[in-house]
Amino acid sequence: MSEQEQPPELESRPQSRREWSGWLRSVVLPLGLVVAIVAALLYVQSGGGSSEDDGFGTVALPATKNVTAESPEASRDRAAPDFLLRQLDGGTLRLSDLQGQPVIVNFWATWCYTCRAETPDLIDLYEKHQADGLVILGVNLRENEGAVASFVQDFGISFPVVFDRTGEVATTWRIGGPNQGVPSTYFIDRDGVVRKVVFGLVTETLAAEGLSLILPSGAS
Amino acid sequence: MAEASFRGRTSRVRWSDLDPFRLLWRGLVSVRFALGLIGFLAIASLVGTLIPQLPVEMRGNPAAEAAWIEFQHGNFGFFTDPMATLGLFQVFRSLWFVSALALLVVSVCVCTANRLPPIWRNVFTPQTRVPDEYLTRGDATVAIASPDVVALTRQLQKRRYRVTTSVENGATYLFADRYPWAQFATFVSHLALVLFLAGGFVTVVTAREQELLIGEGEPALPVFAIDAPDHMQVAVQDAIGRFDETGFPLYYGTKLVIYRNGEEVARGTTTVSDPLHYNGYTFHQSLYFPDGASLRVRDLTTGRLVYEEVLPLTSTAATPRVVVRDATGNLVLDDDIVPTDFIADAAGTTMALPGSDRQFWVGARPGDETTPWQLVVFETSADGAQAVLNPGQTRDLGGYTISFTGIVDLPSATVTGLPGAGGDSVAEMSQADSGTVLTVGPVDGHALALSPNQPVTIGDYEYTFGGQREFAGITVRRDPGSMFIWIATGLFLLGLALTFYTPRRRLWGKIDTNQAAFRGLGGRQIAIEREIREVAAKAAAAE
Repeated sequence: MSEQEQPPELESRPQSRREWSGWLRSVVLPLGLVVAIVAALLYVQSGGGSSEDDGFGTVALPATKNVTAESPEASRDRAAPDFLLRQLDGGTLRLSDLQGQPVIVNFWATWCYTCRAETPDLIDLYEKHQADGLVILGVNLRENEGAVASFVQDFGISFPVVFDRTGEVATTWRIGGPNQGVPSTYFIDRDGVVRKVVFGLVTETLAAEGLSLILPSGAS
Repeated sequence: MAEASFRGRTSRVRWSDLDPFRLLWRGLVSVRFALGLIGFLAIASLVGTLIPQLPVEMRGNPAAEAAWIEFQHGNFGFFTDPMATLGLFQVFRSLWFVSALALLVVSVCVCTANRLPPIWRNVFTPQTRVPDEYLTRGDATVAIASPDVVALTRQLQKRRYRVTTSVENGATYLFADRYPWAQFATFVSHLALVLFLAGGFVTVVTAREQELLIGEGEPALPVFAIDAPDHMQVAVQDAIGRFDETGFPLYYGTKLVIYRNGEEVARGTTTVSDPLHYNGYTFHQSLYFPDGASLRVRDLTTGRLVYEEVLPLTSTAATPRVVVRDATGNLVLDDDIVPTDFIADAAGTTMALPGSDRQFWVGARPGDETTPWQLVVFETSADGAQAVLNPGQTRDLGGYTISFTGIVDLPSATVTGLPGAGGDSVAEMSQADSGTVLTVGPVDGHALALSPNQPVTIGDYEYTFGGQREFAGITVRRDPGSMFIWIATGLFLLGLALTFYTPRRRLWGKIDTNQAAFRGLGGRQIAIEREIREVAAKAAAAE
């Protein structure tokens, strides 16, 4: 047998062998595999990208209803982001349809102690200024309808309550974070512009400040 | 043939050595590099264990994080801020730690992926013929008298070898291979290591955990941020604690209902050892707390509810037990005096004696080391006659005999925002002959003693104690990384078992007319030589 026909040296420790098979197979392919696995894990973790798009949630604010030169945002002097949500009584409500009236949007939940504490005061506020055209809109965050209905009945809430079932509106309005971000209250004037934002309890003083900015007669 | 298989590699630098991918590949497959990374991660883990780490619940809250770091100045002084900048207070979530972990995963992946092709070839197309020099040179060669090839083959097959032979130039070349697939054990072990690291990585990045303390009758409490996709709510229908007559716990369990996006998605009982599962999350019972109280307040002018809470009475109030007898020795009062207000350092309440319009203020105040508590008593309407009693003592005061039998700790809590209270109140729960009593006060200057579902009206408000409520501590957890860890553990054990119980062994031999030379791989050389000689002996005996 000639030298070239001889078999190669016996691999005494074949398991320790590393074989350069070109950059594609030796580097890119394994790295791609790792990236694919991580991406798959993150995809599974995110719930598979499924969404419940039933038409409710954040909707585009019609340009004709945006009196500011900027895009809608849940912050002072910006047009309030629009939303379409189901009401407790079964109807639907779109925020931009309330333009022309001063509106207080209050994000709340029954599990929120501060929300429960401020509810009687919000009811009083609503009943006091309803004749001035004030609308208080309670946006309940992702809760069970039965529990909310029971709460609304017990506390005698007379202003409209809508459901943000998926939290989409909460995200748009930047509700969240480690403290859950509720209650959060937005005072919106007749043009649909946010004039005051209150994170936490709406005290009498804060309510008066907010109303003075959105009610034509101011707070009284 | 792969170039790494040939001898005599030149030390001359080639263009291919400067290929950046090849340089990267060399680093990633370097055992030294991997060991260095592992050492670095081990040291970092030790640092993360020794140095206090930012509590989970403070993460993402800048104010809480800043306050916590400020607190650490007391421990680390000048070094605190540099340590915070380096991420030493969040080692396992720091970019450098996660990056090192990811790099190790990549390194092991590349290494493993690159070992697969040669291992595969080695298992399925093994080298059956070796050069004569390999068989005849070196100490590893086993030289024996030529055995009968057929008999030798049969003996090897009895020992689970796969045997192939070929004849060249009058000599028979033999190759015997046992448990070739065991070669994959190294691949399995590497895969296990990858999965261990991936599991740790997934846990660090995606694991979620939250603790809840939920009372019966409370609204469903939120799990995870309101804007998170996996936001859920959990309600406790019934928290159950069973005890024997000595108070030894026999069973803890909680009936839970889980809601997601307003819909009920799961319902069931969770215990410490048998959690409720939903959508990859486990709901463990972590705590049972019996002392909660439901309190509702209604505004009678509007008829509306203005306050509704389930109060966890997590504090205790030192409550003196007092016995009062009149001048004739008749028992007037024998009760725990639930404090509702403070005078100096004494917590007590005004006590109206039954059958009399006289009132006494009775309270307990801290004593000294020998008598931790003292009873302070004085008559509110008279000339201020007062007495201070130690536990077990009796005094005459205003025509009554007052005995201080001792202190009882009652579950209590501070109540904020109670309508009509005008400030913070104290709620305490006690057991009376008539049943559970919730004492709340001061409310409009009064202490309310509320029995279950028996409303008491003060001013415009109606106060109702809904009854005792139990609380359950629930730990909600999801750790997708744990699945990887379990699989990795299984693979690791499998790899070990394959390596130690079914090691691959290969034998090569050249059998001439007069003598035979053998050489083998797999296990200690002495064991290989012994097996070759045993097989040859048995083959000779069988001839």
